Amino acid sequence: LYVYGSLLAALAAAAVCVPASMQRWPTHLFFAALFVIGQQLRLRVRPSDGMALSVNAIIAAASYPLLGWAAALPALASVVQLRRRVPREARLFNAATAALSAFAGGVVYTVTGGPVGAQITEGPVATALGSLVVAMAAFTATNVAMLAGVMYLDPRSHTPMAQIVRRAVSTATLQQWAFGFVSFMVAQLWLGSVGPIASLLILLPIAIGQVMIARGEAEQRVHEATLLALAQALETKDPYTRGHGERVAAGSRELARDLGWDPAAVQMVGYAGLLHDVGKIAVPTGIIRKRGPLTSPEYESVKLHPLRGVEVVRGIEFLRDALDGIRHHHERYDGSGYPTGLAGDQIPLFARLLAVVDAYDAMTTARTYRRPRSHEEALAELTSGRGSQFDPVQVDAFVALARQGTWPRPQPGRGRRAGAPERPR
Amino acid sequence: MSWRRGNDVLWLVSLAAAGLTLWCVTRTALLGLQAVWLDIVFVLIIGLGEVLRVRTPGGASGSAPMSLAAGAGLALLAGSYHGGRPAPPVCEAVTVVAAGMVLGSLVFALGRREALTARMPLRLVSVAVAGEVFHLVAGLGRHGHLFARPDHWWVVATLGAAALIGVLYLVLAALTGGSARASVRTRLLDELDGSALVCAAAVATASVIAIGSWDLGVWSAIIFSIPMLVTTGALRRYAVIRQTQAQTVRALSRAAEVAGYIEVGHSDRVADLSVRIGEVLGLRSRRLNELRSAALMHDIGQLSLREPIPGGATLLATGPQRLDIARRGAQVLERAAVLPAVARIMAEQAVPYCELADDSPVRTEAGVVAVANAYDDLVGAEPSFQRQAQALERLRLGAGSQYDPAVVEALEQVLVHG
Repeated sequence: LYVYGSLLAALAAAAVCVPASMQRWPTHLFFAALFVIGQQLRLRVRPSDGMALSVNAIIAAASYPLLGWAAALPALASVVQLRRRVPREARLFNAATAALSAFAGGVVYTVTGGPVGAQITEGPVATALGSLVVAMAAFTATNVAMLAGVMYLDPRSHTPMAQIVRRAVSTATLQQWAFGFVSFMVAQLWLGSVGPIASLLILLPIAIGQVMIARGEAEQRVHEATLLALAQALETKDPYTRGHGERVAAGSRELARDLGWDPAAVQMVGYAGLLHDVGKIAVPTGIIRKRGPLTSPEYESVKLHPLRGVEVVRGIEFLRDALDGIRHHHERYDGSGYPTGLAGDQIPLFARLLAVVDAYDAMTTARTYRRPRSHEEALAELTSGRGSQFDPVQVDAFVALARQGTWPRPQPGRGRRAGAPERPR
Repeated sequence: MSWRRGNDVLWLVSLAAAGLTLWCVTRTALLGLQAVWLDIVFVLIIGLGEVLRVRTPGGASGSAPMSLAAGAGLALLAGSYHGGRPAPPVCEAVTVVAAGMVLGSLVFALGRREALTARMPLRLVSVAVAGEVFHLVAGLGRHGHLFARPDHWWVVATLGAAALIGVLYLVLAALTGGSARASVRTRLLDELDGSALVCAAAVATASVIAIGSWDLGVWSAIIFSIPMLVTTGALRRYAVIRQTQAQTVRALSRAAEVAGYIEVGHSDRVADLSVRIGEVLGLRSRRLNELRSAALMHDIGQLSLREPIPGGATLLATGPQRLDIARRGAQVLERAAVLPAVARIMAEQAVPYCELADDSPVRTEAGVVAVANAYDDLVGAEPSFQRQAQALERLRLGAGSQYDPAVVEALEQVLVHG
C-alpha cells in the first residue's frame, strides 16, 4: 500500500511536469535515457565494501540547470531495469522515490534562484552551486524519508531506524554529493561556450577510477583466498581438521553479528577464526594424528600452538587486532586455560568468542580420538561450561542462535551488503 | 650503487626542475602575479594532491595523480582565459606547482615522514616543459593571449599538450625508476603497465580543468578534481591490499619455518636471489612478483612430511620425494583456487630442466627458483668466497640437465656484479 501510495504521489509530481516536458522534450527524453542507463550502472566508491552509489542523485544534479524543477517525469524512467532481476514492487518504489526526490530537488533549486538554461553562463558560479547544495539536501532528505518509511513498515526488516539514517548519511552520501557537483558542472559546461565535447572528457577519469576500484576488489578476493590457503596449509598435516577454520570463521562472524558488534570487528573476528589453529603446524605430526590420550610432554607441545600461530601471522599487519584472539583462544573463563591463564574479562573479547565457536565445532566433528557428538549434546556441553570454561553471555547468545534452528549454517555469504539508500532489499 | 643508472637521470631531472623553478619564480617576480586567487586555489589543490601520495599499481611510490592533474591543468590554461579574465602565464603556473609541492612536502616534514619523492621533480618538469611547448607552438608569431575565444583549435591544442605531459611524465618515470638491472625497455613497459591508466586519468582531468575554466573559472579546478580524489582513494586501498597480500604470502612461508621444516631465512634469501636473477633475465614486474611469491613458498609442501628433513635442504631429498613435496606445496594454493601461475612455478621448480615441457609458460621462473634454491642450500646463511665458487661450479655441471643454462649464467652475473 505504501509503495502504491508513493507511486501515486510520484505520478502526480510527474503530471505537473508534463507541460514543461512537452515544451522541451528532446532534453527530457535525453535525461530519461540517462536515468535508464544510470540504473544499469554500479558506481562504486571503494573496493570491497559493496557500497554502491545511487546514480539517480548524480543525474538529477545535472538535470537541475537544464530542466529546472521538471525532472520528475524523466526520473520515472528509472523503472526500466535491464540487467538485474528486481521484484516489481521494489522497482516501482525505487522509480517513485527517484521521481519524488528529483522533483523535490528541482523545486528547491528553482525556488532558491538557481539559474536554469541559458542564464547559467551569466550569473556567478558560486550562487548556482549554493542552490545546488540546497537542492541536493532536499533530494537526499526525500530519499531517506521514503526509504525509512518502507524499512519501518517492512515486517521482514529488523534494521533499527538509527541505523537506516546513519547509513544514509554515510560516506557514500558524501561521495554522491561530490559526484553530484561534478555532474552539475558538466551540465554547465554542456551549456557553456565550449560545448558538449569538453564535458564528455570528464567521463575518462571517472571510468578509470572505476577500473582501479574493480582491480582493488579483484585483489581483495585474491587475498581472501590466500588467507584461506594459509588456513588450509594445516590440513596437509591433519586431514581431520578439514574445513574447521572456515566453519569457525563463519560461526564467529554469525555470533559476533548477533551480539551487535560493529562490522569491522565482525570481519576481523572472522579472520581470527579462520587462522586460530594455524600454529598447530608447529606441533609434530605424530602428536596431532595420535589416537588415544597424550602424554604430558606431548600435551605441553600442543599447548604451544596459539603462540606459534601468532608467530606465523604476526607479519600480516591488518590482522593485528586478530592476534589476541588467536593467542588466547584456549584460555578458560575461570583462569585455568593456556597459554597465560587469563580469567574472565581479562581474556580478550575475540578470544572468548572464538573459544565458544571453536569448542562447538570441535565437538560436532570427528577427531582421531573420538566420534562426533550431536548438535544437542554439544550445546548441553557448552551450557555446562558456562562461567567455568566460557563467557556466560556469549554461550547464552550462541545457544540461543543455535536453537533458532539456523545453526549451523552451510557456507554463509560474504556478509550483508549495504545497499544504496533507495534500493530496499 | 645498484640504482646508479636511474639515479643519474634522476639527478639530471631534479637539476632541471630546480633550474626551471628558479627561472619561473624570477620571471613571475618580475611580472607580478596575474591571478592571485586562482593561484591560491591551485596551490591548495596541488598541496593536497602531494599529501595524498600513492603507490602506482606497478608498485612505484610517490605518485600524486591529483597534483599532476591540477598542475597540468593550470599550465594548459596559460594563454587563454578563466572566467572571463586572462589566465596566468606558464612561468606563474610553474611557480604555483612548485609552491604546492613545497606545501605538500611541509606537511610530510611536519609529520616526520619522508618529505621528498623522486616523482616530484618529474611532475614539475613534465608540466613546465609541456606548458612551454604548448605555448610556443600555439603562439608562433603571436604575442600576449593566444586564444580570443574557445574554438575547436584551442580544445585540440589543449588535448595535445595534455597528452604530451602524460607521455613526458611516463618516459621520465621509466628512466628514473625501476631496478638498475632491468633494461630501459622493460622499465618503460612496466611503467606503462603500472601507471599509464592513472596518468591518462590525470591528463584528461587536466584538460577538463583547463577547458572548463573558460566558463567556470576557479570552480572548474575544484570540482573536476573530485574524480581524481576518488581515484586516489582507490589507488591507496589497492596499494594496501597488495601489501597485505605480500605479507600473507610471507606468512605462508613463515608457517614452514615456524614448524621447523626449513631453516629460518632460507625462503627470504631464495626469494631475493630469484628476483635478482629474474631482473637480469629481463622479466617484467608482474612475473617478478609471481616469481617472488613462488620462491617464498617453494618449501611449504614439506608441511605434509611427517617429520622435517634434517636442515630443511631439499637437495638432500630424493628426486621423486622432491617432486612430491613441490606438488603438495602447489596444492595448498590450488585448493584455495588462488595464484594459479605461482602454484605452477612451485610445482615445476622441482622438475629437472631437461624434463620441463618446452611450452610451459613458467619455464624460466621454475628454472630460476630451482637454481636459487640449490645455490642457497649449497652456500647457506654465511657465504664464503670458497663456498660460493664451489656452489657455482656444481650448478654449472648441472646446467643443461638439472638446471637451465641461461639461469645459471644469470646467477653468475648477479654474483659478480652484485
